[in-house]
Amino acid sequence: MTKLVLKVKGMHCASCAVLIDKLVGKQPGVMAINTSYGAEKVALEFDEAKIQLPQVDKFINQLGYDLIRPDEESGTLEEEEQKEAKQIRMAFRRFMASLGLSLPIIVYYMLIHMFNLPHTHAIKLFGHVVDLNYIYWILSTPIQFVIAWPFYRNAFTALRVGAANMDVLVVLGTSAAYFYSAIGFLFYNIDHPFWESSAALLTFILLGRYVEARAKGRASTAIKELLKLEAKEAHVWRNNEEVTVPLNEIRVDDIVIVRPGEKIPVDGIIVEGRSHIDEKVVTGESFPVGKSVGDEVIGATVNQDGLFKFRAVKVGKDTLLYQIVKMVEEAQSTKAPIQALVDKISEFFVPVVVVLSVIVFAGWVFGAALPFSAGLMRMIAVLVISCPCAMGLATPTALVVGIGRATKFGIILKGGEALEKAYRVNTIAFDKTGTLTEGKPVVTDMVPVPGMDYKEMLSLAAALETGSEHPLARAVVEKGKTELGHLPEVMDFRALQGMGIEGTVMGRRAVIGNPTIVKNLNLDASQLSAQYEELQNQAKTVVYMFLDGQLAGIIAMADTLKPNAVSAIAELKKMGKEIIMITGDNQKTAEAIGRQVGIDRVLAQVLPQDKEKVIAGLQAEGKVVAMVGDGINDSPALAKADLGIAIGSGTDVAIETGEVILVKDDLRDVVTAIQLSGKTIKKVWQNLFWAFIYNLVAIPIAGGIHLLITRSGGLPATWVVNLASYFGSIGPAFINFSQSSLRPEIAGFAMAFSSVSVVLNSLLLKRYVPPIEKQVA
Amino acid sequence: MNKYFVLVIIILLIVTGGLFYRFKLLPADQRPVNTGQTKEITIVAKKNEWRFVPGDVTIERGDRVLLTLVNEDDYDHGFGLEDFGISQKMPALATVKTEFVATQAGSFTFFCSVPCGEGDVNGEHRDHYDMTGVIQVIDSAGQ
Repeated sequence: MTKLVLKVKGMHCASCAVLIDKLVGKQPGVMAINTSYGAEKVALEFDEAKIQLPQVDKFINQLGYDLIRPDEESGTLEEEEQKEAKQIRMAFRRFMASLGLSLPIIVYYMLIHMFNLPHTHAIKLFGHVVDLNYIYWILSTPIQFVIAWPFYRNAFTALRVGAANMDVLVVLGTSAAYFYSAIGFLFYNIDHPFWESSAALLTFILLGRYVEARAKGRASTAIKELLKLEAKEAHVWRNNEEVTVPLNEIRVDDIVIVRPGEKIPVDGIIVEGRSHIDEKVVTGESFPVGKSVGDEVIGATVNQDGLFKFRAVKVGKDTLLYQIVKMVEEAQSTKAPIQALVDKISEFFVPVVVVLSVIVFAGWVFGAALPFSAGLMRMIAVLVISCPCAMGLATPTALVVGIGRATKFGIILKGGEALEKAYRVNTIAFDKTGTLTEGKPVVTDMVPVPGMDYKEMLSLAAALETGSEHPLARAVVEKGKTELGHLPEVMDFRALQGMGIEGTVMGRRAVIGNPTIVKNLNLDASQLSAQYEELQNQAKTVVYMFLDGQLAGIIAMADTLKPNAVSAIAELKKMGKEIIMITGDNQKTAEAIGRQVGIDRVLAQVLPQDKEKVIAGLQAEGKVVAMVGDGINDSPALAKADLGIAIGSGTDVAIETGEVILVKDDLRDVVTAIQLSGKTIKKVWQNLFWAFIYNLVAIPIAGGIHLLITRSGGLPATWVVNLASYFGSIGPAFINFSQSSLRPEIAGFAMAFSSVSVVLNSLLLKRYVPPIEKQVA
Repeated sequence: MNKYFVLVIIILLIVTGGLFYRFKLLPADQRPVNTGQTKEITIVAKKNEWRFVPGDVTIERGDRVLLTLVNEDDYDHGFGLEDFGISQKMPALATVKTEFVATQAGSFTFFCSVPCGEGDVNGEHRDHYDMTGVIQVIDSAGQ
């Protein structure tokens, strides 16, 4: 059995992915297939004995899509970006072309119908009187079939997979309007063609599509970012000399030499030397790890201070980095897409409208035994009015305002799906290091022995630590510099491998180190052993300081919480979200941080490869999970989670993988993002209500169903006449409307009011201020 | 495919039910009548009066009505008699012809279906919405 994640090109709508899954999934030998429209990827599992990849490729080709096989090179980052920019340009051109062609129609009809203007439907051209309808026909035909062709294509694909999305509704409504108008005008001298209905509807929807395309974030380039991390070349020991080779020429069991500051090229085991290695990119942990002979090293991590040689164990596609790449790819391609709300509505609205139009036809032609043409006219009217003009604006306008508002508060939301998912999230998993915490150690406690001056101790300690490059040392130096400003000089500095450092500061012999140094140098540290233990229990890194052989004090360092972590977690808890912390750190440290920040469920010692599984496990419990993270090791989990939230100060990979990015690094923005998403999605619902309501009310009118109660014996019913008498001068208009079915005035009214309602309603979202911001103000 | 199957079944049921009602259950006096008799009627949209003349037309059930629609105005009107599926444009200063069979008895409203403004006619304010009329279809044979 073979498992592959491949790129698919040429998908133009979410239904395409369903179509591929449905038809290719039926082929014997294909065990599982999952196509993602957003990621343009297909995750394929098949039995090589029964079906070969070229056959699968052929099937997908027959459906009109292009499978990029592993042997075919995929596009570069720039190509992808260019493609996206081109799509946005195309969407804009489509909209402009449609607007240009339809504007004369819309303006003319709107003016006449809304203001009841007398008019002649003809103009004089070169001495000939030309019916304006010919011009409308010429203007609206290219809109219908050239500019709006993608709607037909998408609707066709959707229908093939048994779905009725928004495109189907659009095609149904506009085609009904167009063909009624064209055929009616050319052959039957009908009084009011619905040219403007189809032209305006398509223009509005194209505007919506363009706005949506612009609001969407860049396509995920996470994987390319990941691959940028790789070292480009390596120094390998061959034939008793050092040679520099490109990465792909390293073989298993090669001896690789790594100098300070270099990236480790592949995974392996140290055979000579020792060093501190910054593994943050892979493990997410902030402290460089000391490693010596026999320890494992991971590719793409950075060697800090020592020179060492290691034996390559895993190269090429077997390295941990590649495994992470693969996990991100798989997680992205198997992510279930969220169906857009408007598609969901269309899904049941389309069959209802179709059935309703048939009922209308049957009712008038068979029930009331009226002529065929009377039934047909009303049936078409139902189809025409059923597709709301503002439908295509409902989602994009709310999204644009919502996303714009979020950006104001430093939150980048990549597209509507992120919003929709954010609002469903009920469980939030936080990565610890770099997300909840600053990700670098700071001095938290400094305990001098009685009689020792705090300032003196800090000054001497910080001065001594200037000699060291260790990050813990930097924490002390930083504290000294900020509190004292100037530090004395250190002489005879010496690092004691694995134990600590020593040197002479202001004539005094100073030593800083861990318990090993106490034992090895035979020093006495019993005076502060109680404090030492207590600090260690708080999961802090604690070191001793000796001056001239006497204990001077202890210094504790730890990664600290981000400023607003506690209040953010408290707020999320108040919102009823389940909070979980995932970390690769040990249980003790994890629990200590968990206690400080107020998280009850802590999952410690989770290997980088397993974070994704933890998320999958939570999802299996039926939870909608958001993952908040910053590291490369978090990216598979970010991709796997229903919503990936990346911290702005995090790695590029995390930022590319995440769907929400918190630019300000403030965890309270998680709260704002979720609240704002909820508000925006509510707006979308409201917009859809406003978009549909006028048309919904107009459907029975179009079908002439109201005539059953507004007429008696063919004449206006008494109640209509009575009611009209209250309306004064518009009484006759009321009677008139009540006695006829869909008139262009009604269609125009529905069009104008639904669009205005939707746009105004979306703009209301601009007034949203996150409650947390209000507290600050 | 299942969904389409269900949809087609529903549509077939509606149409079959409709046909069954139309040919089996529809009371005899409501069945369409076509006597083959022709009747010519001319309806005029009077110049700047927002009025159809005649505004009240009486015909026999089953008549094949040859309708001549005359527009005296220099702007457009429309003639809507929806119950018989008539929806005709009346271009400015033009005459159009159409026809229908008055298969059912009763009163049927026709109206101007193209917005045509408003104005004062002999001291009376009239507009597009006043431009209506009634066709009475009398069923003398069925009495």
